[in-house]
Amino acid sequence: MDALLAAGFWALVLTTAGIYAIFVLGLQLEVGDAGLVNFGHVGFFAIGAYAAGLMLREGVPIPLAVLGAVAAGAAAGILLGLPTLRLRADYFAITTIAAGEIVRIVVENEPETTGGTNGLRGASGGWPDVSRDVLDFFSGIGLDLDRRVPLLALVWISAALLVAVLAWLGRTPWRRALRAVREDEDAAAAVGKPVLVYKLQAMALGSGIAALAGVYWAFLSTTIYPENFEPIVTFIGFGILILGGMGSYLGTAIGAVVIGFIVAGTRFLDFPLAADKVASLRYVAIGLIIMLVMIFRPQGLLGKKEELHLDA
Amino acid sequence: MEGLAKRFGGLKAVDGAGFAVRRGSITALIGPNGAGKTTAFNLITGFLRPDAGRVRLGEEDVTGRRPDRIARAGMVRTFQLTRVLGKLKVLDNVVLAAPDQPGERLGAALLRPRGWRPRERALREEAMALLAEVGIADKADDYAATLSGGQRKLLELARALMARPALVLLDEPMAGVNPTLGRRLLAYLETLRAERGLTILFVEHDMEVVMGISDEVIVMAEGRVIVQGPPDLVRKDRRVIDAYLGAEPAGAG
Amino acid sequence: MQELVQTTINGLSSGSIYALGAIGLSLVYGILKLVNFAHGDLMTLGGYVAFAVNVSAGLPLPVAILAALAAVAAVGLALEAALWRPMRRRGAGVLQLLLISVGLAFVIRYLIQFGWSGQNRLLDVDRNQAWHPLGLTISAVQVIVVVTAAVVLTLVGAMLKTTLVGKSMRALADSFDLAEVSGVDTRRVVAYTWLLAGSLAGLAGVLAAISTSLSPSTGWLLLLSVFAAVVLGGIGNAYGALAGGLMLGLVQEWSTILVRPTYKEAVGFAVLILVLLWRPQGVLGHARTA
Repeated sequence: MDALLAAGFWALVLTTAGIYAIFVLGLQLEVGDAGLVNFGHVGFFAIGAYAAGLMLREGVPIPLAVLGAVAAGAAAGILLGLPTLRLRADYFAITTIAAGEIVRIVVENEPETTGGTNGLRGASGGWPDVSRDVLDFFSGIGLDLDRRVPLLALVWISAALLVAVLAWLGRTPWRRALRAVREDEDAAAAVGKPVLVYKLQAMALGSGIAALAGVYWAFLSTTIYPENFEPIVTFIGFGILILGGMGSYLGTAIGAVVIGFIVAGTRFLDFPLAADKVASLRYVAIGLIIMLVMIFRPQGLLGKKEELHLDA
Repeated sequence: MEGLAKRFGGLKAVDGAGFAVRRGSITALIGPNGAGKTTAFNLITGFLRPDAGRVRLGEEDVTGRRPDRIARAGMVRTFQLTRVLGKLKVLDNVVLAAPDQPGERLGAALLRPRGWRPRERALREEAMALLAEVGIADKADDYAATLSGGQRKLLELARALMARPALVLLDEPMAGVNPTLGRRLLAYLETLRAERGLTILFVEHDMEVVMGISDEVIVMAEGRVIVQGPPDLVRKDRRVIDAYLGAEPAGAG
Repeated sequence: MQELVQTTINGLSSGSIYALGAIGLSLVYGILKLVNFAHGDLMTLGGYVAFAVNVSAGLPLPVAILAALAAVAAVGLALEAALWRPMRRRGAGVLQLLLISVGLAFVIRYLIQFGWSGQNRLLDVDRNQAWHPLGLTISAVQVIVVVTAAVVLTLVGAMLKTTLVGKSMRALADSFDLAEVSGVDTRRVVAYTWLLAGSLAGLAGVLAAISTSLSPSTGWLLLLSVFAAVVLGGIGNAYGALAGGLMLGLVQEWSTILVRPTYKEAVGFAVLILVLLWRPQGVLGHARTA
């Protein structure tokens, strides 16, 4: 149980949680605000990670690479949305998951570009240097921080800023129009709202945000592999969204920490069981959480009942 | 005075139908059930594509355009089976319909609050006034899902008017609304016509209403237009009586 | 030409497995409005039951297959009674049921992994035996898969067409309320649907295990292709699912003539997307206002 007391342990868990939180904020926009059940969300996560990774390896400055990766994610979201948004909801869900898998399979099979299954090394580019500089600065003024803290701070500050922007956006006429489109497209169209435009904007924002999470994943893992981007990641995202509650940003943060702890944290704790058994139980636990929440408290920990459009 | 015109064919429900609606008039579209009236509305407002024929608004040909574009061009409709946005508040339902809120565009929403905040305040006032006119101002802060059927009709009416249309298509606007309020609404629509030149096309089954207020009556049956003219002529027309006797026996005049 | 025939054989083999999975999934969706993300893991379960009977207990393969069918059908029925029916009675909507099935998928898959570990398992079947007529390669495994699937699919097709239960299933999938009103005993038909869906899933899992190998992810990895087959054929249409499954398998294998074999799944998904763009209701589906 010493691990629970180590700062490094919590830095890792919370950084992972923060990345998940950003990922889910994008999902929340698509699913919660726009009613688009995007099961391929992980595809944009992958695009963000690989776009950033490839750019950073070529020496592109970090801020530019981040912007580029986010733009790539947003563009991909629009590209996917244009043909598919007119499909009915269940077909849309299957199509998006298929699209996400196509991304992953392509990445897996082009090793010259992406490193394939052996991974893309050096995907964090110059970030470790920046991180070290930050640490040096703080130890210069007497604060010795764990080496993982700079990324932790970057991730959570980004998440907080994102929440601020989304909350702000949430009080605008834009969001009201989006919610109208979500609830009844025909009624919204009858009063002049361009339905497809709003849906595409939601897709672009949601996928851009997922791409940002992907960039931070590249920073965290340094080497990224296609297997990090399997559909299960999207479903873990849904688990977080469900647990925390649709419509609640704080809920997403809490859900991300809980699930992040289960996924990343339980690796370092000692259980009276073999490691691979623990690994299995980890996901059994997540599955049970999803089931129990959806059965007994579908609005999650902090969600609002009106945000639930589950009667569709 | 020539003004707006609608001519469309196609679809089995509407077969070679065509009619013209004069700008600034109050025109009633009547006919037995299944005559194709709602289908006609759907074709005109872009919710259905016609297989043949054209729809014109003034000089513009709007055939086959998406419904939101037709609404922005000035033709706004209500629905026979009301479609209010239940998860939004009543006031928001109406404010939503305003055609000129820059805050509805993503860029402006994020970056230029000064562009839309004052507008929002003005629109809310305008919406409240409309809700008062239709008689449900006291419900402004409630979720639209809590409204009764008749109240929803009123909300849809307010919403349609908020969109500042040139031509408003009302699909059975008085259904479920009590007669006193109904009369008040008709009077209100007449003032809108006088003040703003609003053109009104409405589907209605209540013949008293139709004959009382319309400048022009269009009669459809089995997907075709059988007669178009002033109420007095139409009510005496043999073909109209036949059409109704073949369907509903109720008050064809 | 030879490549074409070879890939057609391969395609029929994998397509049969997709078809077996797709029919059950499609009927369950059509009748119960449940997009069952746990369906793949039911397939995996079938594979592991067969493994337990065939390898651990040493019984012959046909016995193992029957055991798998029975076990998964039983699990399907149990879940219906314990989970799906109560949730439906509570008014749970499509999305809610879907998400519950996602959680259930995790639970089943990782319990299997807990019990049997993640190691790849093989069923007791001679993988190396093959025949080579006209320069083609037809393995015994493929023959088992295709023949078993063909027999079962024919029987199922006949059942759906001729028996009362089958016709009721199709009627319910088409319109639940209408069928109910016309006096169909819905509870019984629902039970039979799970019986059928479960058995077919179990069979698909065993055949998949025979075709390649068995791991806790076998069914989950197939699930997306099975969904694709269902969507291709039009959700709720059992015959469509059958056709969709075979179509998908063939398209995937034929594509290996032109692109690298590791891309074949991606090709299948791309075809799915293209088909939906052309015909949003699926190849055999009817345009329904969902």
